[in-house]
Amino acid sequence: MPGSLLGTEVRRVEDPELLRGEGSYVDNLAIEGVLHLAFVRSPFAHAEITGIDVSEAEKADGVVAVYTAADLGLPPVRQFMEVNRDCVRPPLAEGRVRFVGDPVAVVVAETRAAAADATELVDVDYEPLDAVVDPESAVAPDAPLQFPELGSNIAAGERDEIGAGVLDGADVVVRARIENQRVAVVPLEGNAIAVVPGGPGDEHDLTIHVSTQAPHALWVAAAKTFGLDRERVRVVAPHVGGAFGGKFGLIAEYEVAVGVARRLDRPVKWVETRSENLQSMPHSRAQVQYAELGLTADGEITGLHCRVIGDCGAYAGFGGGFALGPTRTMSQGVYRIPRISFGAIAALTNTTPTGAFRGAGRPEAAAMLERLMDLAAAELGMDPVELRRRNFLRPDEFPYTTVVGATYDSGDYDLPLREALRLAGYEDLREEQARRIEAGEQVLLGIGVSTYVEITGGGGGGEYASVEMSPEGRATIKVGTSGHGQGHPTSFAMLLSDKLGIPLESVDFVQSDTARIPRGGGTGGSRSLQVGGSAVREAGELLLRKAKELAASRLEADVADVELTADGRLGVAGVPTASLSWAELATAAAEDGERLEANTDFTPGGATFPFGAHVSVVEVDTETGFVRPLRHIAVDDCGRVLNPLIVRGQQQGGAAQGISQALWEQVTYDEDGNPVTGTLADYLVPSAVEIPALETANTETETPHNPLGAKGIGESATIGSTPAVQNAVVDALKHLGVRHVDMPLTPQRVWRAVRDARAGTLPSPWREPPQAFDTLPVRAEGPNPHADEAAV
Amino acid sequence: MIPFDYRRPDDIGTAVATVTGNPRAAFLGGGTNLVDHMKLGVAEPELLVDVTGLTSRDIERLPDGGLRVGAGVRNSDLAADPLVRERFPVLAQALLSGASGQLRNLATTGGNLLQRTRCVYFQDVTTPCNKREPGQGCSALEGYHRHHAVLGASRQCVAVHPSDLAVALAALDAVVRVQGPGGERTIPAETLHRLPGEHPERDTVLEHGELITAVDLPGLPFGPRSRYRKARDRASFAFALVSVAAALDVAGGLVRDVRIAFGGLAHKPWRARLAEDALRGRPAAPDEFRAAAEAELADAQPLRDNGFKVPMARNMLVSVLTELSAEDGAA
Repeated sequence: MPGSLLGTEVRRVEDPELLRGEGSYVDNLAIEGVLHLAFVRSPFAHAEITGIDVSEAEKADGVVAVYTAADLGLPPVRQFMEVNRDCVRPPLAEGRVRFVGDPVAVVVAETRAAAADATELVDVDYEPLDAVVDPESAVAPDAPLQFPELGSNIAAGERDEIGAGVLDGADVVVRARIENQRVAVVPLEGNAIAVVPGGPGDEHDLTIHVSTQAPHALWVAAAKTFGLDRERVRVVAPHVGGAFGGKFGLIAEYEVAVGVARRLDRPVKWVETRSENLQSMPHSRAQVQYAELGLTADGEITGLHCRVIGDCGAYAGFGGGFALGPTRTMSQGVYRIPRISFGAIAALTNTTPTGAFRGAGRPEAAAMLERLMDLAAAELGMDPVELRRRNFLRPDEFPYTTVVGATYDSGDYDLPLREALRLAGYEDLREEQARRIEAGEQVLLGIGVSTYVEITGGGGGGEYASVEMSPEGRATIKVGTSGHGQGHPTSFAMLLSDKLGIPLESVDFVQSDTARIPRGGGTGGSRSLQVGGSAVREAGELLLRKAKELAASRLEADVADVELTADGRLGVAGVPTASLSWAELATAAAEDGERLEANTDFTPGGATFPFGAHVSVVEVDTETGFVRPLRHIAVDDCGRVLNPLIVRGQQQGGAAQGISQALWEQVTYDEDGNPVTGTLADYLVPSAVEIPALETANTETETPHNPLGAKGIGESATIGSTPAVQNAVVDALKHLGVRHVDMPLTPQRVWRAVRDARAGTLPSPWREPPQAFDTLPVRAEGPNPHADEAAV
Repeated sequence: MIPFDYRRPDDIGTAVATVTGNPRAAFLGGGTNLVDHMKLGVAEPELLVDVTGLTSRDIERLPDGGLRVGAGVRNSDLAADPLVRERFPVLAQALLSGASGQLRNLATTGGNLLQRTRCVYFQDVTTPCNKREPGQGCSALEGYHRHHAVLGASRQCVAVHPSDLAVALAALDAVVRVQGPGGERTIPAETLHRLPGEHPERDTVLEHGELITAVDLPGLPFGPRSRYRKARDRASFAFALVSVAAALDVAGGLVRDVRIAFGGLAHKPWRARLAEDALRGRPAAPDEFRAAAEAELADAQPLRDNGFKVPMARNMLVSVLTELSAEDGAA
């Protein structure tokens, strides 16, 4: 048998099609007679709707219909994850709008232009209400309420009873109020949907082509929402231009699109504009963290006290709930922390609802903890690397259950750290840093370290996969994950090729179609290879077993003697002349009226916990505050690596987005709740010029939870990179007394920190959290309900 | 977007007459700003008169060592022109620091000068803005105004002009050639744009129907010793927080002549006459540059959140002039 492909750099089989522009996205689909939707959106962050007049719009050329909430009568939006069931979101606003961009009416027209034009003819009367824009003022006693019947803007919240008691007995306590700012997801392709209603005799009552990362979940939601049997609904995701956590669920606009298609019994399409995308796709992060770490004088952690507000945005967007879930679950990080008290609030604000973005609650935990570690190192006069090492969990302690109830599968946290420091040349960098300070140079060097662990492939779900061999000798994989750039066609074909001894070119790949794949968990939470890949491998194994039985019967041999030959046939051991090709086997099966097929539902042993160490090297100009990232070293341990090329791509993309959060990106609103960063001219996604050369490497610590030994890699580098960069910037200024600067580390913020430090007027990084934390209910005893949660 | 008519006349005279005769007509150049505004509802012309085939796309030599740039010359072509790069590097640098490659391929010389402010409130028709709708009030005064003016603003408007090209032209004593209903006239580039005063809705001194046909760059012997520097939030596709266009002539260690203009500070490109006057005949030294910059910026009136622009402008000018004075080939 030729050498295995596993662990080797295999170029992506799906790229030629994409590079030639042959990919097919929702907007490319040619749908006969399709109508176009355009939404009338609220220009107010918070207002009562006192009247809607659509009569002028209805008369406009090309307009087929204009609908408000009252016309369509659709049920509430099914939130992808529910933070508070009483914060009901109608897909078109009813009575009240709650953020700028909230859809109020929809225009249906023969062309996209006619639809867009007619939205301007819809006359909506608003009675503006006071808006709450930031999550801390949202929980103030006198805050205007988004859902008055709720009695507060706290959509969810809980705390541990012990509170600051976990810091008792500490020799030193470091504390900071840390903002993990709101960012936008910004996929290249925004939301897009095309809905085709079925006619009499059609196989489906409803076919939905949609840009999503989880078609089966959307399928279930669509069937439930519209009271249809699932079998009568088909959801297909064609090529998807990036998702990053932002494309889950039957969102408000999608529900409207389906409702309109059914009402008119005509196909409809909605492809959002970039401006709409920045207003309507969930934002993420958006936490304010009050964090305190207690240590002994020699640097041993004694306790961690966190009070975190997650910003839900409007309608209790699920991103605000991450404060209670994954952020708490990962709050212990890679360290031995004997006691943790965690209070969390999911707060309502009159802003775009929040949701998931690459990491979804775990980056916030890592950033908080890694800032605290650097604060503590500075307080104790220790090297930040040494302090981390002193508190690492040891490799022989796994599986390890943390005090917040997560069970880490495997880990060796010093392993990637050693490698990252070696690649960085840590000691030389520290010397150069000292030299510049000594010489009184204007441009200083900062070296930031982060060590992290995160949770992937959780949520308790398994995955479906099937493999079928055709009489032509081609294998078709069908799998319930839904890749959109991650390399699944390549990775999964590699696994099958290895299992069946067939070339990659003989493997076809099917995903993201509910009519062809019975169930699936989609792609999120870095689950696809470890869960979906394991399912494909298992289905391949089952197919091989079937094939061996068939070969044994045809070759009149004992099944135990049938083996895969070096040239990819099934033969009898020791009898070179007795063998059958895969095509012959499939043909033989067909002659028996059978298909050479196997399928499985793979269930992993549990969530996996990838980890790693990042080192960021930055230059900070003390006169201008400008930060230039010089180098970024990412050593991420995602267990056993299947295809280093794909892993590297995930590390690079992840690190770019993480660096970008640290330095540039932030969604902002003015005090009335108007978005200030509503276009890509204002919202600073970086260009290639800004991102430094990325130096990536891996260590490989296998997980016992799946046969591949693989953990997720999709989000790791985003999680590791952000705090490394933030720590690097603060590190460059620590000799001046700077201990914390919030992200994004704009020149203005950095310059102010330098100025204040030189003037001796640096503000304390700490202030007392809002009183609202004291009123939260105490968390119920027992296991952490979020312990295995990394579904997004 | 509201419906509009589109015409493509055969000659400039017809184009000018057509726009002059219709108060709701507008010239269309590369469309990189006007079309956005039409989509946003910021501009609602009922007639677009396309002049891209009418105004010159040539760059001609002038007898005095200068250049005449047709208004239809694309930003990318102007930036790449060998004579521009040789004689007026500040101009090529200014162009290349703006927008993106795709936009520069479309944007014209005339249109670039007439682009409008990027103030978020001006571009958001749901918020009050005196520039868009006189009398509504200015949302930026107390709102988001990090990018806004520190010089020459009024209570009516604190917006800044976004063009990089215009800043270089103001520094270079360029002359804008205009065709109007009454014939041709010339306007110094420095005075093409105006301060907001009580009429922020007017960006320039052009009358309705006047069309920019060309821009003349007079010969400037020390033009090769010029530079454009731009501070911004991102290294490409971002507007200036502050920019500086400067050309410097040094003889015997003294400033013989100098041209300076700032971008990002005011409603118009800010020609720094005070600084220039302060420098002529003085030593080409950083402390002199600094004093000159401070003289120019003495009247700055920052808003709550844009005070950084004053030291930033000062420091950028000092560093640009210091670099220019150290350049080889000093006369």
